[in-house]
Amino acid sequence: MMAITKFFFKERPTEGIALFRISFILLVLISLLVDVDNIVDFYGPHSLISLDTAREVLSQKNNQLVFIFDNSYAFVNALFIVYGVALIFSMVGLFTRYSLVVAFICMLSLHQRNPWIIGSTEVLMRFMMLYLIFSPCGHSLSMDSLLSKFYPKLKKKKNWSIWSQRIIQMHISLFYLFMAWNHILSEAWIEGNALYYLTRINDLSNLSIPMLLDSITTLKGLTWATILIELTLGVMLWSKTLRAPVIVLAIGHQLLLGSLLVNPFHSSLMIILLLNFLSPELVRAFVHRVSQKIIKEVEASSMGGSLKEKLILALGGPV
Amino acid sequence: MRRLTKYVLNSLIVFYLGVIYFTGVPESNTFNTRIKQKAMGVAMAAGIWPSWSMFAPNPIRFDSKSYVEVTHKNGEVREYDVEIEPTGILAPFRKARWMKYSQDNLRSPRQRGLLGPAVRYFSKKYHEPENPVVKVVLKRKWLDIHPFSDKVLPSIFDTPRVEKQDILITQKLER
Repeated sequence: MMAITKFFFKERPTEGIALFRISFILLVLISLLVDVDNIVDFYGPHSLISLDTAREVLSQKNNQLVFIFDNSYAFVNALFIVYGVALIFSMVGLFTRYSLVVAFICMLSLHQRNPWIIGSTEVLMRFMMLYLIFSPCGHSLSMDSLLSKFYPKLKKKKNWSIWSQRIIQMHISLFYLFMAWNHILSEAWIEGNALYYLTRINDLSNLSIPMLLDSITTLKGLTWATILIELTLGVMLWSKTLRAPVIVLAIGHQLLLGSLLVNPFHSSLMIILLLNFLSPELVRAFVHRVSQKIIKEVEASSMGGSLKEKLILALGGPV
Repeated sequence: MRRLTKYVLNSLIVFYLGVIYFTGVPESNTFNTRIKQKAMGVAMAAGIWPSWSMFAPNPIRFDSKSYVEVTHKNGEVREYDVEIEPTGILAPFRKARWMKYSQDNLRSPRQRGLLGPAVRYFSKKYHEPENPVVKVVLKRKWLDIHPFSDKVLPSIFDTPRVEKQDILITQKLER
């Protein structure tokens, strides 16, 4: 029991989850920029799927929190603007938790408005956004923490209970394990020919290298390696000794799959998610080293006195 | 952290992980299936429904695209790809949305409810005031991927495939 309590509730540095916040929100922002061009075709009142159709076709009750109000272009455009602003605020860490709540509501609303254009990647993004709301991701590497240096009332603890990051880690681990489980139950994956079919779909295949993709051995090897890597990641990411090589393996695997198959968001997201398995103490040490280097540069510069002092204070104090 | 807060958080974590597990687990037995249905209801309402399949159980074995054929009042027939070809830096990302809609959903027999709205959309998109659209046909064209062989693999570039066609819906419009 003590071990479980320590596992979930021990206070650890918040720089790790903050770094994940910045990288992840940047990816979601790119996803939003992609969708701006899709407003007319997928989200507007005259889109491919009307709001009434979406409500009628979806068999389960869904809560389109925002679309109960209006489905005009003006409203959809405003929703996108609010979503974008919330994401920017979340990324820079200004009123972080509130910004994340707004961003999550906007994201959920868009996903429920048109679930026919989203896949596993967007679903995973939605989960991560939800988890970040409950995390201390705004306590470090954020405007909130910067403002707290000048306004002590806004001060937040730099060490916090790690339970929210544990949930993220468990979700990532379960994701890999379920992927592996689904693949093991599949004939094509067990026989080793799944990647053959995926790389023959014209719109899905990216880099076509005949030497690799016409080879039975390579295709079977890559297919089985994918299942093995998924199983390895699901389990071995929890091992402190093996974590570093497993993360390198995971990154290599995602880069290889990303080069063979067109799935631009997925590979980037899976690599960013691995940031959650970096030791929070390691990230803090890295951030500290970088800020000390910048402070030295600032001290050596010819900047004005008061501005220099404020910048050094913002970066963490004198060397 | 206060004890009550810890107990509440513990309970929420256990409940949440239970919902995530049962919504994600493959339906490999009756127990999983029954609990999965209940868990899915909770997940859908809370906005946490998952999608874990990642080209499973089996990846599709054909290369499919959806097309829309519009007939205008003057008898002219034009065919368009449902997916627009985006340009620019974010083109691969934007194309992914269209591919998801067109190749995974519009052509799927389980998503027949999307056909009517698609017909309405394309009739408006290709409408010309002087020459209105009188008929819309949604069709899918596909190329079967040659079956995998343990002896000789069809080359990714050189092996031709036969194109097949299937009508998804035909709708005449009153103009």
